[in-house]
Amino acid sequence: MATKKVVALTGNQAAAEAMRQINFDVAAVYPISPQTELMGFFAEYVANGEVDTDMVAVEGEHSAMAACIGAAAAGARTITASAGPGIAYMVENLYIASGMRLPIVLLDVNRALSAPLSIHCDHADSMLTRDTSWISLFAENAQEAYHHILMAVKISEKAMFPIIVNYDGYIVSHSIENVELLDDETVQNFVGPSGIHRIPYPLLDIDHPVTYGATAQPDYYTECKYQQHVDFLKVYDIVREVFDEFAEISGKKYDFIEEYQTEDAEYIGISMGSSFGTLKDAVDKLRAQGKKVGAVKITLFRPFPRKEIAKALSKAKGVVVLDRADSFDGIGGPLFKDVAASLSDSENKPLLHNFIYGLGGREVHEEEFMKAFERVERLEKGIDTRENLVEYLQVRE
Amino acid sequence: MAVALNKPTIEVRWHGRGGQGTVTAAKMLSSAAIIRGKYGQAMPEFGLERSGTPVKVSTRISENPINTRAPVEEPDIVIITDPSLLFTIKDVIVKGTDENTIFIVNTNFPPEKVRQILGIPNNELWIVNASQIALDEFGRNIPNTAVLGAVAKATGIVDLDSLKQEITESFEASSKLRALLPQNLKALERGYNEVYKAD
Repeated sequence: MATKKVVALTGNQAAAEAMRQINFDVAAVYPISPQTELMGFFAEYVANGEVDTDMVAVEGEHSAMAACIGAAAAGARTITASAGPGIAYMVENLYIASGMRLPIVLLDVNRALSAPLSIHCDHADSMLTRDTSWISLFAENAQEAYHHILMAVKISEKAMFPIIVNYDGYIVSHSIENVELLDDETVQNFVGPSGIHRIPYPLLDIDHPVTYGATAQPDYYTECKYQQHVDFLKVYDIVREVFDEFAEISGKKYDFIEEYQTEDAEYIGISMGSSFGTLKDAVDKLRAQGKKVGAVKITLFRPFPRKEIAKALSKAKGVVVLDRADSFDGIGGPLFKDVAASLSDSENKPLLHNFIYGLGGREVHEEEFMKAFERVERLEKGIDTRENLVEYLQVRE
Repeated sequence: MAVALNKPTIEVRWHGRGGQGTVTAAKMLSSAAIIRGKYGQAMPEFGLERSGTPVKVSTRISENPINTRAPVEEPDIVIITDPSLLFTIKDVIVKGTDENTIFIVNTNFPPEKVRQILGIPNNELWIVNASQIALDEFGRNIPNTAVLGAVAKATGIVDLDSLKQEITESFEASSKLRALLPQNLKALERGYNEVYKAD
């Protein structure tokens, strides 16, 4: 039986604790705020001999992912972490990792992209990864970051796709909160032993030599991508399976999305990451005023939970889609387009409106989300009109 | 009990300067509450991470799980760890406060002067010369542990023993800070004993 204890940790401390308990074989490290501190905590575990991890200090994020690719191909349980521009610099190798079907864990401590330079939170960095065929989870708080990392190892190795765990820079990474930890033995039993033969075709299985990263000419490239496409759709079932197994040891049951007060809701807000708690408080305040509103959180971002979203919105009149990144494309943010596409087969077509919020660490309050709900209600009732599908929620004009 | 403290969630806003341990103190305050079985949250507002620049931190202590990630805008308690901020950002310090807000100030000024600068003639005000305590005990102006003692005495939102436990655990975990633990525990107690409520 798992023993649990509640402690006070920041998001980065909780993530480092998960890394210690998993005892990764290889961690590639390169500093960038707000991630630096995370690997700093983990480096102490390495220095104190509390883990067996081979910590590889590299000269940049592109190399960090290259080191992960090599280690994971060899059969090592592998992790790295970065943020913002570091993620951008690593993107080329993200495609290579997933194309080679390597289980790797990447922690994205979400940070804005330059210019202007900002070390603070938004989701622009993670949106660079959305088409890379990496599985992607968004954690709301330090507790979820800790849980997601434990589950990520298992999901990634079962699916043979790499996985990103996102948690918001500073807002989660540097804030203290209550975190319930599992004991080391329970975590070890859950993730299972490492060893090169837990994955198919390890490079270091020299009795069965294989080639990784070969060329594909026009006659085969499409087939490789098609296999990747087909297998990525199998990720849904694998994620669900691991979520179920995790519930047994932790008592916490995750789902692709989390619904709050959606049962009878006419207007529903959707967000990812740390803003969801604030969105729930906004829903409570509006409910106290008699408004029928609810909220949905995206936990599994890739592959996108389109069926779950369609179901959650099946009775809604209007939807507030909250994007913490802009696509600058005349349509709307990344999440907005995913939500809109998810309703393609729905009979009920709620009014969707997109709000860009929280860029570069802009503080988010309940009142701003309440205004977004009000705007959508007015649009839906025909009181307001709109020229664009997207607007900025918090801006000084 | 003061009106500001008679509610399930207490919201605290800290104002200090980078390098004086304000972020650490805010984290220790919520950690001390968490080890007593409450819910706690401490969210620093990071600027450019430079020593000496003003730092703002939000802390919440609650009987219930805390959902919001919004910074504290209407604090029940305002803590000022650097007295020079009274002259430079007083508008930021009093923003969102009302007559029930409790102020705890590290300063050697007389209370009348603090009241006058901040424009808080009737608020509950506690004064502690935490910088002097820190200088006495370990020769550096890092007033955070003395301020924490003052917060425990002034508000009771955490008790002195849980702060002792939290400070001991975090100092012992750090090779840099370990040697300074006894002095900081002394500063904590002095902050607790020397803080006084202004008329």
